[in-house]
Amino acid sequence: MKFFLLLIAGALLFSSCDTSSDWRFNSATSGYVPVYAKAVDLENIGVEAAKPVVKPGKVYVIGNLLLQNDVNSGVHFIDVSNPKQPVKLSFLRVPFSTEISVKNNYLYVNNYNDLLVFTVADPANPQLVKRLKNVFPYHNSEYPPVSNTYFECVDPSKGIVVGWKSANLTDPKCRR
Amino acid sequence: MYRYFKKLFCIVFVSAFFLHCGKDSGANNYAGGSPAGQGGSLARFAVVGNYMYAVDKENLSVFSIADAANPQLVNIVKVGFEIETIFPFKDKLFIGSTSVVHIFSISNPQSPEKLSQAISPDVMRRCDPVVAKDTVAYATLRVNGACGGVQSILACYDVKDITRPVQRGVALVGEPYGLGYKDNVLYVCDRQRGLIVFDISKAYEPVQIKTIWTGRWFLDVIPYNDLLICWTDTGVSLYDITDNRNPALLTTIQ
Repeated sequence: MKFFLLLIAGALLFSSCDTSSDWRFNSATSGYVPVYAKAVDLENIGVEAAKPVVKPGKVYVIGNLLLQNDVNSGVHFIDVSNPKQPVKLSFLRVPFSTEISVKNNYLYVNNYNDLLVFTVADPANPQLVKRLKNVFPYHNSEYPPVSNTYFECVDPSKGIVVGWKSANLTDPKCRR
Repeated sequence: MYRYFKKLFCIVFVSAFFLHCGKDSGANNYAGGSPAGQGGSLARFAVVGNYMYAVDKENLSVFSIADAANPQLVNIVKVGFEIETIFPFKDKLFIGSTSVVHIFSISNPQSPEKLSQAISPDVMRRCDPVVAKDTVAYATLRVNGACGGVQSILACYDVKDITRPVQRGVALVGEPYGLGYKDNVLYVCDRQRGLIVFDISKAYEPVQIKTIWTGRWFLDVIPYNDLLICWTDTGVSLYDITDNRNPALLTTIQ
């Protein structure tokens, strides 16, 4: 088993971004390009009327309150006190959110690198009470979510990387 | 063999809480009296008492939430590479990564301490979630076309000795994702087959009772009292699991 672990460790080492030239293609290939956002768009928080989910994400339940993340856009609040007829209460807009949990009447949500705290005593009208800046390194910010792929190197001057999309690349400089 | 080593694989190791089913016959116990919230087996946040634990790609962050409105980051513990999930079980944290499962003690909640790591014999495959119940943990190890492997399995680990998890049994599944259990019934999300219901009365010999195929892709489940909350690719589906062997669809939410 230690043998395998060593090999695994080796594989992980080689999965990092490598700009040496021996493996490079000098032609078009498929891979990933970063999706950038401006910092100002990250903090566009607000409460909206209930609406259908667009990109269903993780769920969380506490008592009769069911929460579902809408991947990278926010959190749906759903009353399941009658689970045969759940009622959607509201949508809390939180850009680049993926994780949710609750203690007492406080909801914790990630917002890119920050942790936000909302009071949800009134789930129809959650209110932001606290922001902890830069507590999470965003987990897709450095390279694409798959290995053995080429990608366009991140250029910080273009903004913050909030995701990746597949694309055809010409002479990509980065690989993982 | 070399091609295997280039492949990414993962194990998400998850443990499920003991859920108390309302034994009073008649009335369903959907919300119960439980004040505690619960996330799924794929979560990156976990609330345990006065602390919230969060995993990013490499680290476990510890937030004090003694004052729930005013969390404080009190500790950051290096865990490893490609961390994906966290699940609390009693005084343990099971932290899934693409390579191994890290098991931490939170006896001292502010200072998680690593106890062991679990690796399936099927480690060269791409793997996904697991669950723990008492001294057993259940893992779904997902085969992925790009990552090799032949057959996705549900793996049963003996975690009696938390410092040395050992695989003791397997069941074949299709393309598994999250999972959870209520008493002696285990629910496994399977993209190809739907929701698979296993009898786990014999801990290391899971027996498939039935599958529920709806056309939806089941991603994760939260058994919550008499309610089974399913994250699907169209939103949420709610099932009544008063009879835990026969989940009955209540509604779907989009």
